[in-house]
Amino acid sequence: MPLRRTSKTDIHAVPLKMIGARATPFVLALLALAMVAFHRIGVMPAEQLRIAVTDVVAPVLETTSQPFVTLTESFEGVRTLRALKAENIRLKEENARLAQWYEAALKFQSENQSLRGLLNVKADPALAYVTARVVSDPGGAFVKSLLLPAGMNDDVTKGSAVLSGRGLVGRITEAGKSSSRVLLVTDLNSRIPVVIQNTRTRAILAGRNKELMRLERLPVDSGLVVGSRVVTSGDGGLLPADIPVGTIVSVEQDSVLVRPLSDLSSLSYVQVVNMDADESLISGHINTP
Amino acid sequence: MSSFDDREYDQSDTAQGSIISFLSRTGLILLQAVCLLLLSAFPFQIWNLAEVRPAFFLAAAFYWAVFRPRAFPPLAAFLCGLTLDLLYAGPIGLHALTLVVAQGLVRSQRRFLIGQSFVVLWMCFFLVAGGAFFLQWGVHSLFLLETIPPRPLVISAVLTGFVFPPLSWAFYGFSRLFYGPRG
Repeated sequence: MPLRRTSKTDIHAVPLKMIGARATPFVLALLALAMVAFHRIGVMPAEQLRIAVTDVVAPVLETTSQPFVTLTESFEGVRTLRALKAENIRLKEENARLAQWYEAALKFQSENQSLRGLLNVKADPALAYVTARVVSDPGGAFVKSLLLPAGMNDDVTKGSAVLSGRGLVGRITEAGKSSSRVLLVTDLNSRIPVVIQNTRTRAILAGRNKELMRLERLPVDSGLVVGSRVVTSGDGGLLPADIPVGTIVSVEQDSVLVRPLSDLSSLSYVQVVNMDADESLISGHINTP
Repeated sequence: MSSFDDREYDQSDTAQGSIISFLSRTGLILLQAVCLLLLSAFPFQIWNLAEVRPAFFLAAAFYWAVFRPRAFPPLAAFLCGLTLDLLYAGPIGLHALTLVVAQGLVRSQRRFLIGQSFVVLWMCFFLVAGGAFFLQWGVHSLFLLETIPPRPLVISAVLTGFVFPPLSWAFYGFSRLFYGPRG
């Protein structure tokens, strides 16, 4: 084991160097704490910094995760092979039932169209969809978010609704050139204006970082029942109206809980809805000519 | 003040040796940072693991703080944490803070840790992981002025503990690759 050299220069140089080495963690910890504080009070360009990072990372993740996705999909294929017969029977029954619904829907659609024509209803703005694969789900235990490899180049804009096959899963909170971040409806910071489908009661659906979400700002005695569907109200003009979000699973004195329709923990593809919202709907200032 | 923390038995007496040592150190940090970053951002949605993702960088900070402090200096831990913060959607600085604090703590106890068996080290890592997640939970709750449900955090901390043995094996491999068979 070589001993430390004890020349004169070393004796003087070492303590300073040592102090530097000892102080670095403290300085860095303080710096990190200051960053958290600055982020909290909003003096840090957090969004721009994040977009810069995700724009670089998302394409890399898209490429690197491909083999794993293929692998899991083939595993899934083998697993479902065993349940194929039972699934087939179930699907046939479901298909027969859905065929009846399809007939009913066609009838309602034509009826709806002719009634709308009679009443001269202004049509909802046309929606455009962008489908993207989920490349990352960063945030872990704290934040419920997804990373998509589609950004402003693909007409994904901040505030757009994000759907899975079954209903709303979240909203775009950051949109870079080629990547974007989705805040899931279950996140602590998520607030979605909703309406209960059968009673038309308006409320705000708030995430809690848990599996279930809570309805807030409910009117007194709103008479909600378990099993009611919760859909977006379209208030504020940011999200399209009537997108299903979840179903009420418990009604208690002080809290009404809602379960999301889609399984948010295993999303692999999502659709981003672009709504060309009228500016005046969002700002509330309607310019009369 | 002990000089134990910074004592390294490198072959960097010559200028050329020190350049090679610097390059290999930087290469080691970069390579493992990229690997860990991919692990930390990988879409575990598929396996329903997203909510309880282990803290891979914490294992790196712990391992290197014990076995080769100069291979993963505080600045590297800080920058890795900051990248994670920018990638994740939480407060910026949160992971940087946890990593630097955990690393500083482990470095200060290095004299005790380095002589221990792997099982004792592993148990100590469990403690550090628990502490780190508790710190993250506290700072994040303060940031939001709201209590975050702690359950997924506890699971994450335990899971982080369990990924330590395979990860430390990988770090040992890294170490041999960059510093020769002496590890």
